Amino acid sequence: MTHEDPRAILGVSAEAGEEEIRAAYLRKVKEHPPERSPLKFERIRDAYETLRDPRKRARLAFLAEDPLRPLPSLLEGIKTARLFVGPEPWLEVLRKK
Amino acid sequence: MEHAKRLLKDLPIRVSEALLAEAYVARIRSLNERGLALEAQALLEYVSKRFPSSSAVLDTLYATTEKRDDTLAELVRPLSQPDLPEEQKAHIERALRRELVDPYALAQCPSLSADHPLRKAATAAAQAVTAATRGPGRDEEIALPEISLRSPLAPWKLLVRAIALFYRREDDACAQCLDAIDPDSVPARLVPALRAALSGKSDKTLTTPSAGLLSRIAKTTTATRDALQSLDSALKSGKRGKIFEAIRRAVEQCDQDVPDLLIRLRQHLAIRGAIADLPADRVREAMGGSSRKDASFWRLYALAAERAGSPAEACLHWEQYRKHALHEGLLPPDGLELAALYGHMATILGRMPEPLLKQAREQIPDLGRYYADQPPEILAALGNEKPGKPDPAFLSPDVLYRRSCAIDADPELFHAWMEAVKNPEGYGKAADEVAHAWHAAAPADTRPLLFLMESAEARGAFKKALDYLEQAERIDSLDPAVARARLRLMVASAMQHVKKRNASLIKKDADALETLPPTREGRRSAFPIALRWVSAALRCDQTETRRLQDETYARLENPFAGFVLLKSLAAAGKAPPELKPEPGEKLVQGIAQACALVADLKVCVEIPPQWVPALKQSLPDGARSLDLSALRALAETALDDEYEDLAYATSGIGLARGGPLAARFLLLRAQCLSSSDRYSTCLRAAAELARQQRDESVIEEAMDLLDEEEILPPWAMGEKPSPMSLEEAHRVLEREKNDLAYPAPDDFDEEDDGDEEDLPLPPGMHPELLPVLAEILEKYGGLPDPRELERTDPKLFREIGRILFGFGR
Repeated sequence: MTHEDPRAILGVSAEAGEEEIRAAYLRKVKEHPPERSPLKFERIRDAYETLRDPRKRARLAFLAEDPLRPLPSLLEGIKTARLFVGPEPWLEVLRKK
Repeated sequence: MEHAKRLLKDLPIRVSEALLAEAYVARIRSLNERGLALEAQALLEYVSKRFPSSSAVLDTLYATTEKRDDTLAELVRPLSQPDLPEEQKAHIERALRRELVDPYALAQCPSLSADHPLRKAATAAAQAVTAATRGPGRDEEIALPEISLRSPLAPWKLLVRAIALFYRREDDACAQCLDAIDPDSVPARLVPALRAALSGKSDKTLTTPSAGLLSRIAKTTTATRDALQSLDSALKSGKRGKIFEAIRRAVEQCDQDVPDLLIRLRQHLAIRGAIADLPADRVREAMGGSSRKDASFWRLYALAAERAGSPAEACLHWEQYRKHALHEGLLPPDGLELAALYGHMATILGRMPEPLLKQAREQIPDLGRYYADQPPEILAALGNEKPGKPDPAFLSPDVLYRRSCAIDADPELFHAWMEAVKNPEGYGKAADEVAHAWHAAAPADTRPLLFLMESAEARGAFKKALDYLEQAERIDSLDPAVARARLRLMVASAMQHVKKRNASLIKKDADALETLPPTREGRRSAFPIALRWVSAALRCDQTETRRLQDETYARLENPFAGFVLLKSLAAAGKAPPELKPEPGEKLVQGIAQACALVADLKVCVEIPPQWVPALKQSLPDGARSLDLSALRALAETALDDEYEDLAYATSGIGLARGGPLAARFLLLRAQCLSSSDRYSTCLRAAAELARQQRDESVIEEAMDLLDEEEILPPWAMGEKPSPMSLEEAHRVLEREKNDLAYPAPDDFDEEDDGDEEDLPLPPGMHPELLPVLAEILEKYGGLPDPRELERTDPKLFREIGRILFGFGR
């Protein structure tokens, strides 16, 4: 039973596959090796073990969202439109200090 | 200027600084007068940074140091000379990095030949800037192979790449390019605007041109964020007018800035509205339309119902989620996800007693209103089913477990299913059926067979139990659980014969046990001898009884251990041993050994009460030579025999030792304490440490004890409180290690007998349930069995159902 979102601990998205999860795990273990930060390492290992288990991952897939999360957090990861405006507005910034 | 510099060094006061700044101003003016505008500009920038206090004087100089195109031509002219000294070339290139505001100007520069590499590179850079900012530039248009990293145009190459990556939404790579741009170069002036664009937030520190650019190239979410923040506050305030106005504003702003979020936002708002008990039609009106009732909506709704402590309502929504998720392809028809969903639904319903579930099945609401204005693709998810009342099967844990296990023979789910149907003794026909289904689904798994063995053993069917055990042995006789089961079953059978005082069968049992390898190991070999002793005692063969008693004591190398073992068998067979040794040396070791031996064989043992004072006294020294399993057995036996202070001291020694049984000793420490905050804290810490140590049995025992602590029945509770963090659990462990004194009765927390109104609402409990429970408590002086309540007070019973299922809302 894990009580923190394992994907948040490893910093992977809900759609992350096995390879991405493993890469994130190895990266995190490098950041927090067991001999230097044993508790953080435990948490990372637990998160990885949860995510590598396809059954637990399947459960997380539909239990992850918090229906009472603060509404502004809905904007996390949202992609706003990016517009092409030609070179002039960009060069304008360069001309003025 | 040199004098001024020296003066400032020797006398670092404001007057000296001002004097040096004035000297620099004179130098800048002189450079300007000599037509060295670029040098003047560079020096001006340096002085501006170094002496910000002199900005007033310096500002007047900016106007006179503006570079002109002809200055650029003059600057780069020497680059045409083949014998240009390196130092001068480097100086020109540095100036270009800091001054060139448009590569097009350099591309057109008449003082360089058309085929000069720098002019060609500037042409390519100018074209690349245009390509990257006009549309999604092709790789070859923005690659700029003509510009090396050492080129004065290198920052332009990085800028072009950053712009292209920004539009391609490769934000991390874009940020890396921005980091690499030389901060003194002209392209660095675009970095703040691009960073703000990447973050999607406005930045008040941006210059006017940067802010202008940001507003043109990227929509920020700041206004929507503010609107959502206000809506959160309005929802918290509970003021309806304010809420509807905030919903209107948030939806409008979201539609303008992030239209892609609108569907999800409406779904969240519809659910927040339902939670806040707002009229659905007014929420819909404020949102400018209905929320889309797809899988995401039903999932959110189900999670919200779980949070609100309405398990049946949550399952109703999960069932809708299942239909839509299957239709939308989010759940593969026979995938693990679907099995997990069924399992989850069964688990949350598992806390509800059957009478309440029956009531829920009868009261399933019509879901038609949710689908009234939905598009055809949403209605298509329901297939031929009318969006009215769904099939009530989703409110039956048994059906849900069956469906889940049919897709995925997950041992955890089979185990949970078995737990859900066990009778109070832990077995029963329904549990046996689940075990059979488990065995059929996973024939190589020994666990269902071992359960069936135990179940048969519990009803006294030893032959049947042995059949199951043999099946398990055929699958994996080396499995430690199977090996332990064989030993335990044979010991249990022998103990039955001891209870029946059947001397000849006891002797046969002893013979059979001696053939088992685990019984030949170490001190366990004393057990068959002890059985023979019981047999001899029952036959009144005094010579053999004495000989076997001596042999038992000798095998255990400790008379106290021998006595406790024989006494535990004698108690069952009503044949007390003759000799009771006086307490003496190795008392602690002896009792602990005996406790460990019989605990291992699941035979009841009792510490002789007369030995307890001597045991307590000699415990600190005597326990030094005990291993962890003997310490654990001693603490557990002391607890069973109700010597809590002895168990407390023993668990303390175990805690101080640390190691793999730390969680177990913390659980034992908790069990020594009366119900109190300290008791629950120790249990929660033990569960968390056990999670770390992967000790499933401690987790299960601690969670069961915590459940028993709940004042309210499981069906009245919503979510469980958050478990303890690992760090906190370690802190509890340290505190308990150092707390050596067994608390006096007065030290235990007294029950809170304060006003009921002061009690906080348990986390996740439905708020309407509290007054109803209070009424029940007042009427019945406790919480009656739901079946009883249904019979005696149907009105109150229905009210509970209405609240828990939320169907009436």
